[in-house]
Amino acid sequence: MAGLDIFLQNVANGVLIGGVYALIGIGLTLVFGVMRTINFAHGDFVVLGMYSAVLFNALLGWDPYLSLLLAMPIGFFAGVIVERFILSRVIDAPPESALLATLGISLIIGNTILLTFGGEPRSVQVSYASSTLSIAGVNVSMVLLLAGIATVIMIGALYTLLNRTEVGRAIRGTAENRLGAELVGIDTRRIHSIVFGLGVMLAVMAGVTLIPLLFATPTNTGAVFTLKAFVVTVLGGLGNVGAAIAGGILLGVVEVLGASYFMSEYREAYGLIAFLLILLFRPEGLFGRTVKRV
Amino acid sequence: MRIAIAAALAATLSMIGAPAQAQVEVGVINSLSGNFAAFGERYRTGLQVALEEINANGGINGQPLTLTIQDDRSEAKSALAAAESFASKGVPLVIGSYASSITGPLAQYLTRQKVPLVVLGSADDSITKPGSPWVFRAKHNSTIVADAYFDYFDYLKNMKKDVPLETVAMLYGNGAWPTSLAKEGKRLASERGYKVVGDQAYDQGVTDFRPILNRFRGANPDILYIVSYAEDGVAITRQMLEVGLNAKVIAIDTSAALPSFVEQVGDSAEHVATAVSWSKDVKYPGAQELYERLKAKAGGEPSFYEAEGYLALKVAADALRRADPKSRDSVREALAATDITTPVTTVNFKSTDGFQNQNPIRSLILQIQDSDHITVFPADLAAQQPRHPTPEWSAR
Amino acid sequence: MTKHFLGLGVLLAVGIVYPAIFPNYLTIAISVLLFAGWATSWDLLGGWNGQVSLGHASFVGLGAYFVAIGQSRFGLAPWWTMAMAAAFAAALGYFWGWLTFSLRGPYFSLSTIAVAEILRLVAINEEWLTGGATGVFIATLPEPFGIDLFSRVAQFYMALAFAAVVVATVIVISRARFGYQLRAVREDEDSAMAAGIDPTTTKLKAFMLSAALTSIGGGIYGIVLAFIEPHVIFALLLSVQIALTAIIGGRGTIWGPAVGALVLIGAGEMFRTTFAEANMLIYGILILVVVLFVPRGIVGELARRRIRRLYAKRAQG
Repeated sequence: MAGLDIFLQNVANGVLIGGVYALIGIGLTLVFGVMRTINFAHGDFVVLGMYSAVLFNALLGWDPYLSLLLAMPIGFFAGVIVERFILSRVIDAPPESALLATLGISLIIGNTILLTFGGEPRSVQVSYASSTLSIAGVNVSMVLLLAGIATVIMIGALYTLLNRTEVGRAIRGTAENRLGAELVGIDTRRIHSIVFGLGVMLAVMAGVTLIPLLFATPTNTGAVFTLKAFVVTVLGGLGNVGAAIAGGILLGVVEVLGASYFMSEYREAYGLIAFLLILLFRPEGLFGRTVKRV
Repeated sequence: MRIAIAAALAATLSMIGAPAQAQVEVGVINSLSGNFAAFGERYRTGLQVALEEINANGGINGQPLTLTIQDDRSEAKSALAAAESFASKGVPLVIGSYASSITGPLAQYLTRQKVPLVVLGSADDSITKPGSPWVFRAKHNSTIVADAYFDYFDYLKNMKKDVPLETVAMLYGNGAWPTSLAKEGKRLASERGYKVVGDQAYDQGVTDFRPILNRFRGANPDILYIVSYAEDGVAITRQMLEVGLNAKVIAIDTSAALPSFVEQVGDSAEHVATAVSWSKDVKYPGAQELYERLKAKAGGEPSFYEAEGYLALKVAADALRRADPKSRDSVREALAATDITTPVTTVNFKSTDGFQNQNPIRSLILQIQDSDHITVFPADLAAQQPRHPTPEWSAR
Repeated sequence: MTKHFLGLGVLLAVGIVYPAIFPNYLTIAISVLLFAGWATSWDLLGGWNGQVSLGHASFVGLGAYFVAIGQSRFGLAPWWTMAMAAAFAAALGYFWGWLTFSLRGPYFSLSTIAVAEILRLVAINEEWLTGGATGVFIATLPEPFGIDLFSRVAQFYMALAFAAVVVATVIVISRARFGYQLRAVREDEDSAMAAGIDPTTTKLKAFMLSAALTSIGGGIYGIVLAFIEPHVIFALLLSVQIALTAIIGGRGTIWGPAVGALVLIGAGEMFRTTFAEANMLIYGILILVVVLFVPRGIVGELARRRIRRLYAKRAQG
């Protein structure tokens, strides 16, 4: 393989991995944009999605993509319930209260999974787990491609929801100015519930689409995904859903190229350094509008 | 499904409620919650099987043996609190724990308190090298395991002389165990004339190994020496197939030894080799029977982790029988004089090559053959011949 | 201020006799004291100054590594290495703050995670510097005045002194000019600037002091563990625990972080010994309960109730 071919292969992998990161990141971006809450449980919801796929596969023999049909609505309602009974009560308290609440939720999710499934890593074995598609000499992982397609569909749907519907208008209004939104008659409590529901739904979806490729453990994996979601979110711009995809892809490419051409043990650091640089020079994110700092 | 909270509560209450008759109590520090819970569960199963066997055979010289298991939440701070409570309670010895970041501080503390420690799961060299007179390890360490892998590679080289095995690529996590196993591996590679053509570490939590595997593919190694965390072996194997990284020998430590590995990776798991301290088909007397009992207790496929839990308590009980359980000094001396044969291994603590109180256990190499873990090396303990060389992915 | 110092004196007196009364519960007491000291140090920046850091484990790790490597490689006594660690931590805090203080609110918190994670990777991968992933042992320690620093009693007194010094520092600062500057910046940076306070300088000072104090506790922790691994001591989880302790106890209060340490560590230990593998679940539920019913933290809520009662009394005349 010539150097250029390898480079193209690496870029392709970076973009695809980035798609996965974007998928993990959108939910967090959405929740942060509207509720101004750093959701520490986000990664645990991703893990919850993975385990739901494991469960449906073990009980019903379903393919992960089929289990999306059930997992997504369940995720949405779980999110609504968590928001209604927990987060809505702390939304007016100091901002760190919500952060703490999500930490508590994260511990509860991880350890409930530990008690039900045990600590052993779980995964779902599908026939296409290692299949590749060869496009112009570049091998593309089937699972990543599917996850990428899911990301694009999801972002399209979300974009339509936010920009073309009444609920979307209300969500955007709440994100811009909660008090103002309330003054024009928007039930911001309801909007918060919907947004958190959507956030969890997206996290669960990310988990389900990733399980053919990865593995889930109850307490370790969640934190990793949360961290990735933070990075993606800041790279793209906190609260900017469309830019999350760009943030994710940027992170994927930076990590993969860093690991391919420099020291692989610092892989995580390449993304974090990019994250810091963006925070410092463009705190509104690469693609965010220039707004005043929060 | 697993034991619910109720069961855990009941277990704890029954422990508290146990009558204070003449009995010998051993303290166990084990990771039941937190990151290492997967191992903690397995160790506990092994300990329980050993406990039942010991008490069915007259306990400790007629007195029943009891176990008090304390969770360390997979962190050193809690393990040390547990150790303090055991030390002050007067237990004759302590068994614990899995991670070296927990067992290391534990060993230091118990040495200063003069309480004998029988290592449960930690395999890092640093626990018994330089070690202490109070710390005993019946299971393997990084040096023994790395030796086993390279002995196996040498063995394969001699077995089929027409298949050259000259180059090694190493991929390992950046935790204590993967790092020390890799370091030892690099030393042995140069000592035995293998050329290291790839040497890449990754942080725990990395899920995309393609960049590293693609690099390796360019180097075209004969042997892949991979030391993973419990969970990453699945992703590594799937991605190896995806990028088409071939090697004549593929060894994956830790994750490939878990029974769930085969089920999660499917056919791609075939031919993968992994080092363990015990297996169900090893040619030791009683191994098969122990396997049945571990399996019944675990309610699932047991691994060498259960066996190590069993081994730790067998060693402890044997020493307690030969000592005065009231005197920790005599327990320590009894441990040092251990000379027993169990279905897991023979135990005879040695202090050589900078190690102290380390049992020179023989590591076994398992290979996944027809979706099962089969012992293939050392030859005198093996159940089957190794399948060698590993075919290319495209030829499977 | 005298009232608080009186309280501290009483607690110190209790602390001094503690090892004689509970000689078998020293490890847990050391944990409480270290976390009390760390959380109080954290609170200087996070509570009094309103800059929520999620990277304080870096300073704990720094302290522990200075002591361990100083001792094992250079034979330096821990008191020297702790002083060096404090100076280095302050310098790191300065650089770190300079890098990130242009960010506000959640952006700042996220940036601290990033910096701390990079430091963790450095500690793991740079073997020449830290001994790498396999960790460092502290095999020997000097014996000042014949005191065995490895004994839990000596370590308990070190931790007690550490916590007391940190709390005393906060008591002094709470009434000093600097303390008002901290709060002014927390409430509104722009107004503080209008009042002649330089927000960045104030934040930098708070970060440096907080970092230096945290690293001293880290040094003691290194001695307590006697074996440290970079994964554990630089972990994001530890950073989060420190912040959690302060917030649960009550941010921006003198005693809040210490109370938080007592409650969280105490409850954690109780759950650990009674609930086996379910203990972390119960711990999570506890956190949620505190957040829901005591959103200002334990001490913060108590203070608010007291003020309310005071006003109610006055209103009644």
